[in-house]
Amino acid sequence: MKLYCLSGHPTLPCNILKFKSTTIMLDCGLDMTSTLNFLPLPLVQSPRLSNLPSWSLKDGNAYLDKELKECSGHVFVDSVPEFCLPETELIDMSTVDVILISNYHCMMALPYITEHTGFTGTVYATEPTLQIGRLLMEELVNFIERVPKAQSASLWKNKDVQRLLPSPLKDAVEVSTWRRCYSMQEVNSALSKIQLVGYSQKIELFGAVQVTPLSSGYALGSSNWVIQSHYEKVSYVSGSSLLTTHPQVLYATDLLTLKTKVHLTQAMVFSIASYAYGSWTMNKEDQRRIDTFKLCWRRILNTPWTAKRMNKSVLEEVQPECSSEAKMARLRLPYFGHVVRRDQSLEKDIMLGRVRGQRKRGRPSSTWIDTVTATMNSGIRTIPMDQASLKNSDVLLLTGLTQIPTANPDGMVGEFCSNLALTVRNGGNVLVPCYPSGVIYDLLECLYQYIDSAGLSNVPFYFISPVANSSLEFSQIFAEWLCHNKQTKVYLPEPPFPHAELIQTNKLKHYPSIHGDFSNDFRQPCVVFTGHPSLRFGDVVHFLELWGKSSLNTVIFTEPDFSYLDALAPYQPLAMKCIYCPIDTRLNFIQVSKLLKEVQPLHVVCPEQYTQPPPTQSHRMDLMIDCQPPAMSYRRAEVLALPFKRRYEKIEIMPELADSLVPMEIKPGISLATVSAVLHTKDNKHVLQPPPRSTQPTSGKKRKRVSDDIPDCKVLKPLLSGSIPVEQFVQTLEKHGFSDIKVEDTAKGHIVLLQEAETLIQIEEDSTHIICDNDEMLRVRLRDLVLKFLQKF
Amino acid sequence: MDPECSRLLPALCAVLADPRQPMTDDTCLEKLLDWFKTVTETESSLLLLQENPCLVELLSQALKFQDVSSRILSFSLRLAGIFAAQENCFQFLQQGELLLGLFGEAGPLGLPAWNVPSVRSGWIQGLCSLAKHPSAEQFLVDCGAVDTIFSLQEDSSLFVASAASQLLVQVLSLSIQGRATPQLGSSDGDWPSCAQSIVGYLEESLRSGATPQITQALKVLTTTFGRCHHSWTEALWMRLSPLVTCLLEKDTVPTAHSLADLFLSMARSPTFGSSDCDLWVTLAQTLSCLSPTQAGPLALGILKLHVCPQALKTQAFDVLLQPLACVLEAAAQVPGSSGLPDGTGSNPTMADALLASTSSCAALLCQSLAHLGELQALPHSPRPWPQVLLLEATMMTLRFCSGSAVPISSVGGRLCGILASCIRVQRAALDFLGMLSQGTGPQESVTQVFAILLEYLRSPESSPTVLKKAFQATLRWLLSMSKACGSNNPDPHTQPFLRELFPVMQKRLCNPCWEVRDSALEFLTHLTTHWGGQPDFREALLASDVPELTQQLLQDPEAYVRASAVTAMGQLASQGLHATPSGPEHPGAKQKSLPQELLHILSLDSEGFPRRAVMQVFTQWLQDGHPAMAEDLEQFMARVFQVVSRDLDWEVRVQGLELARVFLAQTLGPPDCPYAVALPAATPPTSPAEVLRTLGRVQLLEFAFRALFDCDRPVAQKSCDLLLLLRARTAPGGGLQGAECNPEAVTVEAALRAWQAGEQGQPLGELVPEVVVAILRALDLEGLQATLAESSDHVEQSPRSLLQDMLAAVGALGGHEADCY
Repeated sequence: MKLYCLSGHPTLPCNILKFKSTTIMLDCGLDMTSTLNFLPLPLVQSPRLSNLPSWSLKDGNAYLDKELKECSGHVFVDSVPEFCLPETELIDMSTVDVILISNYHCMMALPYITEHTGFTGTVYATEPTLQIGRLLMEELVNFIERVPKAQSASLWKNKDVQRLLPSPLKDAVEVSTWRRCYSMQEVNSALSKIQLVGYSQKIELFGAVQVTPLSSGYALGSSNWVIQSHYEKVSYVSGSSLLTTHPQVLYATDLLTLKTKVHLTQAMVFSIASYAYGSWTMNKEDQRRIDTFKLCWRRILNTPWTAKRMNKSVLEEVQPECSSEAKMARLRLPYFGHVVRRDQSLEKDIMLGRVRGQRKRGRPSSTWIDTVTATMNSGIRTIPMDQASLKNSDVLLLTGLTQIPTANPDGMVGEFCSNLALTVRNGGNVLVPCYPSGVIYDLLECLYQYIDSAGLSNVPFYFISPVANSSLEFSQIFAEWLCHNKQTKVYLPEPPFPHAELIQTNKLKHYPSIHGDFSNDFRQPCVVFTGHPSLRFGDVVHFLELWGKSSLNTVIFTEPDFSYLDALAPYQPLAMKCIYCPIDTRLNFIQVSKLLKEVQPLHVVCPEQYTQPPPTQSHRMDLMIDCQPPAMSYRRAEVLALPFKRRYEKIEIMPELADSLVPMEIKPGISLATVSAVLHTKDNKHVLQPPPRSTQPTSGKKRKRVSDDIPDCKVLKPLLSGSIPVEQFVQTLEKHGFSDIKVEDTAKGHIVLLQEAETLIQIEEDSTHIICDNDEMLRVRLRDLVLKFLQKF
Repeated sequence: MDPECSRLLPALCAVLADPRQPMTDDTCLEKLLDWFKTVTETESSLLLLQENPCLVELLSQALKFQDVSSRILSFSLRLAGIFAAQENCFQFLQQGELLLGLFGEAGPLGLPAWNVPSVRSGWIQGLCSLAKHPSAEQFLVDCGAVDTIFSLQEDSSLFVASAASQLLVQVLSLSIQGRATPQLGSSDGDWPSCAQSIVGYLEESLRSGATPQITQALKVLTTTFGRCHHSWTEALWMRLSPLVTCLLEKDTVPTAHSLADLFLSMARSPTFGSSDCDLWVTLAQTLSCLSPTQAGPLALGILKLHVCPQALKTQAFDVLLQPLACVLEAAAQVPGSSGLPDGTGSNPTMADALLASTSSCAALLCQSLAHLGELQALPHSPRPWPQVLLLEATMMTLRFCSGSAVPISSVGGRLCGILASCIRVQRAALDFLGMLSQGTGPQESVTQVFAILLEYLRSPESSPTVLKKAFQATLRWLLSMSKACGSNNPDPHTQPFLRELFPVMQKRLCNPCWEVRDSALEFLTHLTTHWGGQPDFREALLASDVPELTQQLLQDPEAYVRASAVTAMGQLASQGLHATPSGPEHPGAKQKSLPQELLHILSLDSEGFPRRAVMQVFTQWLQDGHPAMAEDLEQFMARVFQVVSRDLDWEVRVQGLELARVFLAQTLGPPDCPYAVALPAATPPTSPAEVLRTLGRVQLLEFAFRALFDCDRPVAQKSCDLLLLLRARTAPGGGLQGAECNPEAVTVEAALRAWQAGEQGQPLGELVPEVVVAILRALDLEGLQATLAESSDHVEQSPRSLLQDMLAAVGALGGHEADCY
């Protein structure tokens, strides 16, 4: 098993796994940090950018004048931004069988791989991944194509020239392979090769391996992948999040009897137990009781407590149609609507807690309306990560951990909101560079709850992206990809994400670009969400040029992919305030160590960045992967041989052959049978078929190691079993003329000593050794005596 | 005993003894026992039993164990114990062989009911009450109770086991104190036989090597030394001490907590504290051989002792300091350079304990910080108190938690990983840092303290609870700084800190998490209360947006935040720090003055907290003579009283009456106290009629009269007090007679009577001073006050009511049964 590492970026991976005669590409991330070396592409002519001084070599040679510009001590390439592609020289792309995509951020290099490289395979991804990935690509192409730039710098890429350049440019890797952005046509062609999959769907690859996407909890439709054969399992974890806690039980059972039981229980027990579920006020104690009650399934399955099964595994076996939490939510919300619509009633007053009177000092106890609010407002977005299916992996490939492991997303969202409110209050504008999908949903959801309390109701929020409209609409549609809480809302008249309400009430407006309608509606102070987070292209360039000079304005960075200092370099000197609040929900190292403890893989493979503390915090020994055996690390353009050997192969026996077997019990519980057959191997399937009639039936052979041998036609020795009774053996020896026999007892058995013949017979429970020097005749005689005591078979 | 109760008692006893009528509610039985206990404290039990033969009947009924429920059996055992506590009554019960039947071997011991824990518990508690006099000792020996008590020591029910060891202690002290021989030696012969068997049992338990038995024996000893301070306890210790000290010699001490409790209880006892026994040596030995977590509570206990050798105290203090010393050591650049005093150096076991796991590390540090915090509050905290060391260690812990420490040693690196963002330790350390503000420190330490507090206040990582602690610690430091250098002298540290603080406050007031906004507002309130007069503070505050943001938070969606904002605004306004509402973001909004805005909240807010806060602010303002209140005070007050009298929250109404009291006191002027120093140029005393007219105009009188018949007792009480005060000042003694002579007063009285009957309707209308005085005289305010002073359940709590309730419950039960068929 080999791993070809095509990208060195820890969160935008691109690896190829060769496993059991299949070649699987895992993700197809595009490293866009290369664009930070280029000058921004302004939508509107910017005098500042066009008047930047040229940069010349120290020797005064000016042939790079046209290509390199200087801004506040940094040097930038004045050209169309280019991207650093995954390594394509390492392996022939035409041999790649499939590409598995884990989330929409990790598929941006897809057109480069699927087009013009001879790739003929299939790409697998979930539907939201495909659709949102398409949006991201569409936005990228649009951003770059609408600002045509004639010049394409290439002189600086010359290796001899590059050596002379100042630091970031000098150290850039493989600049010769950097490519311009793909076209929309290439995007469409690449995306047409994607085959859609659902969570836990099993996909067979050439009969050799089976790949399965599992929910990873990070983004809409994001998945981890399990790649397994009968005896080997490789898990690929990329961009996962544990911020979701409610387990979703998937529905795929074949056992009819159990199913009937489940139906019966649900009809007869749960319907009564859940009477007026909708009106229950849940506190922790109640929740615990309900959890306990749910496990009446243990009785039904006859699971004793001594079996020490986790509740989760019980529920997985039963697989009730929907978890009781979801059922409760489904009942609670319609009931809430029913109550609220009534004009005036006692029921309404009671349920909404409007009863007059006093209560104790201190924090109010939780009420039903709190439960309803919690159901509606929970920040959980995606289906939670499926950890259980990752268990017992031989190899776990771990990528896409959070880049800023010390920042917790909740604190950062708080920081984001406070800074936003402070700026707007002082009459400043807020600019949020972001992708058109992902974190922006979280931010809008948080702002939805926040803006009224902070007195920001009158401040307009603008979302500017060529795909803004589709992005906001898509997120409302993918019901089955949302967590339960949100799922229940999709079927209610009200949309699952609150941004729909923000749009309806005109608080959030979205535009394809700053040109057109936007310029008419534009009102300051305001908050603008727009791309691209690299600040090199897209509408964000315009706003930075527009607002950069005033210290009232603030730019808040929320995407962790780009270093904000590098991103801002071509805009210096900048008066605008800069706040860095990276919101990253991916796994951090504490969560990883918990995950590894639970999943217990034999080997862990990860990018080399994760095997040591980050360079800025070298003393934080907790900010690295710590597992036993130590994780194997990879870097760009490296080929890893995974320390993992094939040990078993599954072989089928044809029914008629199986019928002909006559097992014999040699020990209680162990039976043996001899089998003679022909092994057929095709498409990674191994089948034992009855031997052709013409050949002489052979006497049989060990069933063990059957795969290794070709049926040989030699007469085989019979199998022997049993134990040697020492006393009788000594008598026999004496009968056969051996005298002077001594028997010694050892810890494991006996030693029979033939002193005259200088021979030892060592009899142990599972072996017998005859040790005699240079007397083969004697040894054979003794052997035959020993074998007489054993049962033939 | 109340004759009415005596009359009810036979019926009740019959009900209790009747197995067909099970008593479902055993809290009644507990109450009944409590009542008997109080009765026997004042009256003779013997007399009681003779007057109420039904009680003896009930007890003897319990002897027919087969058909008595376990509840009644347990009750009877305890009741018999209560009666037998008096010696003459004991003799009386003994004559009837009743006690032997209940507690002896023929009693419930062999019955199935004995399996019920409550019966066993009742048996023990009965004996516990009984074992008060010498005759009881003989009884205990006769009925073989001691052996049973031994077996109950290991009872499966913890309550029973614990009660059994209490009983054992009581029997032991009873049997020894009953003897005339005060001198007890180590030989068996010197001890009374009963005591001898108990001591023997203890010795055997201590020798057994089984942890639960050793723990039980140690608990018995702890209780004994804690309760009995006679010289025989010393003899007891002489016998047992070799066995106890033996326990310390094992590698891991199995019962460390119990041992620590035992030694501390001994150290507190005057018998041991004064004598020169080897207790202190044992304590020192214990401290050194317990693990760091186990030694902590013991060390704290030692430091709290009044009498204790200095060397031991020093050793105990070192034990508490060690975890922090270890933190300092881990952070030090060069090993051993942390500047620790001798003996405080970290040892390898401590480092191991700290680095074992996150939870053990956090537990150890939190424990150590909490104990040190407790010590600092003590009057005799250890000298010298290592203020600088503690400050540095606490700050270092906080830096480890926030990840800002850059340790060089490997221990430091691991500690950093373990403590990273550990909220528990952060909270404990911030608490302790706040406590350390009482001491002084060198200048640079104080600067560092403010730097680290600012770091925590600023960090987006700080969780709301941590932030709250950080605010509290900051406040304590700021206050102690201002105290240290006098109020008028601006401190050089706080000046730059304040400049940095307010931008952070601004951000915190905008936080989406309501807990954060709330604690920031509380902090602002406290800060303004103490520092509102300081020019530097005023300047820094007014330069920031904080006052405007605070005003904006009056509209917060969270009630707690609104309440805190109200309090904060009230405080700001009374210090003159209230910004005029002229924000650019509300150009169209109607400009309201702060009192108007608060009045708006009072009348319209749906939650009680903000309304209560508003009333507190108004009271405060009125007391301080806030200028916003001064202009057109009467009209404003009238509005307030009008709104408050209709409030649904009784606390708001009580607050309203408090405001009324302040207003009344101000209107009346200082009382005519003969010793009061007359104020020069005081306003001429207003006549009572004038006062009453004013009170009528501001609607105070109507509010007070209405509140007099409020359905909530505190409101009525408060109003009653208020009216009494008013009557004392405006209508003292005679003068106008009765209300009947005034036709207007009659109608008012009728209205009041209607209110009392629960009708809310008609207003009182204009109140003429004479009418008010007449009504004040006519109302039986003293009587009302006395009625209100009694708690509302005084009737329900009487023994008679208890007996009636129990009878009624049983009767009702029967009724239900009949219904079923």
